[in-house]
Amino acid sequence: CYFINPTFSLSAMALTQVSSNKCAGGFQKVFEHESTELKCKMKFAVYLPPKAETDKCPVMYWLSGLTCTEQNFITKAGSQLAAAEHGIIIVAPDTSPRGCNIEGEDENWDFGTGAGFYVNATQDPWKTNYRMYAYVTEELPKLINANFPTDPDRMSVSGHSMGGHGALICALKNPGKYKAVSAFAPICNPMQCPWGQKAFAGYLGSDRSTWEAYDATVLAASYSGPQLNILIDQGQDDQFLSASQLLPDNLIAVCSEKKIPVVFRLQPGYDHSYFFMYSFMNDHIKHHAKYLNA
Amino acid sequence: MSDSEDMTEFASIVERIERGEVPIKNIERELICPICKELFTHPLILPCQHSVCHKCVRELLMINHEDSFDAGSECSLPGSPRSRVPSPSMERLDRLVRSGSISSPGWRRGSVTPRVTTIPCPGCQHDIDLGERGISMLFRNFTLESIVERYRQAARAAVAIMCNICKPPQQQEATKSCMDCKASYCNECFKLHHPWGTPKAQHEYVGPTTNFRPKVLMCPEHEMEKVNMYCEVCKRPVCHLCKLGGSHANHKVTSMSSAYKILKEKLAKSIHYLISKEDQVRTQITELEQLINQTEENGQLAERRANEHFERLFETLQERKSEMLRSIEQSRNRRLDQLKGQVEEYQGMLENSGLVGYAQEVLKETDQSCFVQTAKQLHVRIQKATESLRTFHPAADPCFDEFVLDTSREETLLKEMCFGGVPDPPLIDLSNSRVYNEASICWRLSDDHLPTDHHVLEYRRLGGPRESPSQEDGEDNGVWRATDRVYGPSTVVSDLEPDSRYSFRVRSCRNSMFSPYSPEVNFHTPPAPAFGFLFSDKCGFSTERLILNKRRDSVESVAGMAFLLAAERVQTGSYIGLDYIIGDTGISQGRHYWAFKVEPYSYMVKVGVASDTKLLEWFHNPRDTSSPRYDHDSGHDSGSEDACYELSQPFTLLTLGMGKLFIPKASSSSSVSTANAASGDPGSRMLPMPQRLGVCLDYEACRVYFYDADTMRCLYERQVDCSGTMYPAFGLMGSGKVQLEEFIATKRLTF
Repeated sequence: CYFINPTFSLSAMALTQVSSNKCAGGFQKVFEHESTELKCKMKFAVYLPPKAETDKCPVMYWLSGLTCTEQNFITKAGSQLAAAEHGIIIVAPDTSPRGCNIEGEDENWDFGTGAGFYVNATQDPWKTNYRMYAYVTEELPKLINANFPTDPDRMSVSGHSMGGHGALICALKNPGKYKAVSAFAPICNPMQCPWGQKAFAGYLGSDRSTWEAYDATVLAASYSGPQLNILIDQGQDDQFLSASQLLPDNLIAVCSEKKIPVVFRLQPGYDHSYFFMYSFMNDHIKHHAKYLNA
Repeated sequence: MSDSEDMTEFASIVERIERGEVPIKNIERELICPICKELFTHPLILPCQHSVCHKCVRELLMINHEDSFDAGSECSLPGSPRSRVPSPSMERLDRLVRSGSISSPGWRRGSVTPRVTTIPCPGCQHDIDLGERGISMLFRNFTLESIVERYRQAARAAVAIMCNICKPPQQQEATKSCMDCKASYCNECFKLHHPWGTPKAQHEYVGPTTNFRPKVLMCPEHEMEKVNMYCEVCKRPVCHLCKLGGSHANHKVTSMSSAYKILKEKLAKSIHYLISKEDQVRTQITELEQLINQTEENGQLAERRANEHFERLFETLQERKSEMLRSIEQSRNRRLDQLKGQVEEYQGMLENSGLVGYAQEVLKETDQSCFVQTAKQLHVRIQKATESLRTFHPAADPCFDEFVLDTSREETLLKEMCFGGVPDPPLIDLSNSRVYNEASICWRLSDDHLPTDHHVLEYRRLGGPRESPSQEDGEDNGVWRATDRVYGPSTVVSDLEPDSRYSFRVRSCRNSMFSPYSPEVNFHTPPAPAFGFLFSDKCGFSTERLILNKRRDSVESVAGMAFLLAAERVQTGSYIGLDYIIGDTGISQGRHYWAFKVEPYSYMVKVGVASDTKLLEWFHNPRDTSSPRYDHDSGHDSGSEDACYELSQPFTLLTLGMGKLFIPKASSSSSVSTANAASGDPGSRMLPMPQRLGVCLDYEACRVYFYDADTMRCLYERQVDCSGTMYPAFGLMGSGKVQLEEFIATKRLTF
């Protein structure tokens, strides 16, 4: 009793290093662990800036989009130099449970594997494993804080597309927990777009009122808490923008009504790809550093 | 987060020590236990916020413990806690220490018998009640411990802490100490033992140290709870159970983080302040050292003087004693001689002896002529003897009443003898002191009733005239000047600079011993020499309504018999006029100042100056002036009338009344020196009436100034048409009174 004992068991928190590469003066590592929330092995990527060798650093959680794994972000987004410069640890989890042998989990690219949508599923057969919201907001931060030189009080969240939706709801549902939030081409109003309707109906059931708890536009309308400074970049030539999958206008309308500051930048000529993200990643990391290192 | 900050702060302190900014030997005194006088080991914080070594508190408690047992209690029973608890082994201590407090099971057993829990704090002498839990209630002062540790290291010329992991001869110096592993590591070993992706990556580490304190301070009362709040009442950290239902239930608590922040900021600020004032501290230390020397010298001097006084007293007493004893002795001898002579004489009267025997023999003489020759003389003697027998009268009084010494008075005096040599300081009496270009300063003597020989008044100039600060930066600024000896409770100081602030102080002297100085009082001299005048009794004022006193220095406005008679018929109201009176002396050049008091009850009084050229006609036609239309300060006037009207006015006046003073409306010819009064809003033009008013007329500059004479603040100034002779002028309406101030009566002021 002379120390605070960890309240969770150590065996469940064991990490296995999958890879480690020196990168931008620090290390880009991938670990695997047995997730208690998702009841399966999960991988996540963690970038440790050089500063982590001597100091405790803040953490930015990156949530990737549909079909992605922990690999896409660390290989394509070009975040490490900026993270090294600002002394930020970046943790990028996978986008869904994998290999759970649920019927139909691999049938669609926009539902099931690679499309967890960062919700806690309530419907069979998904509800046992598809608890990505709990995973990214609870289990993963605990795991990271217990195993890496982090400052648990300083965390932020960002993401792309479905991950952008994830980042927004994480911040809107947990006032004060994340010091900053940003998104690239987020799905802003999933209840109103085909992707969201499909996923929510599958994971949450047909009762649309249960969907509201995971819809950034609905959540923003009832947000109260410390001021959120949201940065959103959106490519103008994004095919999913014109397909009405992203609906940023709806979110911005609510935010301006609620006086939630949003910097929304419509970037001419850019599409939905990692090339677009790569182009503005420095801005986003700087945005996070401003609040994380304040 | 806070720990590393702490450490960097310590590091910076140590760094400063090393740079010589804080001499290290001077820090040591803060790190020394008041009991064992050695560097603290495991210091505990007493409730009075003083720190004492753990072993010292224990010993202190033990001593008090035994004291009480010696006073007779049942404790000598075997197995009672009285059996001396041996000094706990370091291992045990270490275990206790890890909990952040000291709670030994042996001690808890001790609570079966009532035991002493009160000890005097060696730091502040207050009695400290440790309560039921005794020593285990006390927090260990880890911060102090860390500093002591750091100090020890610095003192040991920083003996390097070696890595605990790598082995000689390749052993490296440690660069980090892990508070979780309680070990020190070199860089390589630290990385090796705290790999990323394991819980060890979260370990807390600091710079190399051998002092591993617990990461979390636990509550001494609730051992499973960490302290997370700070009790503002008890000034100690408490846990939420303490707050919830424990001994701090009703106490005001703050969060640990805010208490930390507040205290830290306070301390840092104070330290920075102190460090920035180091020169001042040094100066003060020098001063203190001088004071020590002075104290020593003065103490010895006083001792010597007291000794001398007593020696002199002893001598006087001895002298008196021998003198008086001698006179007693002389008187005794003289009386004894007389009485003895008388005894002899009486013995002669006895048969067969002396005179009687001789007479009997003489009777035997037969020769007649021979007998007669002898017997005549003998007969006279016998007759005398017979006479003295009849009127027995002792030759001397055995009573020594006249030598009875009544020393009760002297004794009382001696018993009352005390250090009365230095008189108490007098007190300057502000209400009776006046300062113009000459100052009349009065003071009250102290209440010690003993007569003082004389007083000395000292004064110095604090600041020059506001208009020309550079004019006079000569030597008289700021230097105390003393008057000659003053043998009364007041004196006059001459030749003060105008419009300057002066400080005055006075001290008494008795038997060449000076009292301390009175508190200093400041006065502001008027901007011009005092102008002495009395009310003119020849200016044609209405004797019916204005009453002059005999000295002509006060004027009172009354209703007057005629008015009262006339008022008999009045049912709906009547109009009271303004009655004017002027000074008996006029001004035709120079700057002059006068002061007076307007009684606060006064209905309405106008004060200022008047020009003689137009005065006569006004006095001849007083009714005109009494109309409110002509009263340019009354507020009835309209702007258009103002301009042309003012020029013809013989009076330039300020209005007072009912305890208020009214600043006139701003016009082209006037300016107001107070910032708030310029507007036309009557409320802002109204000031409380000063106790004393001063007026200054500058004839050449054609300007008149009105002052609060106590503070010498200029309330209002304005242009005045100085033609002919200008007189101090006063107008009164309704009941009211103006009392001219008595100017300092020196010969120079002649009216």
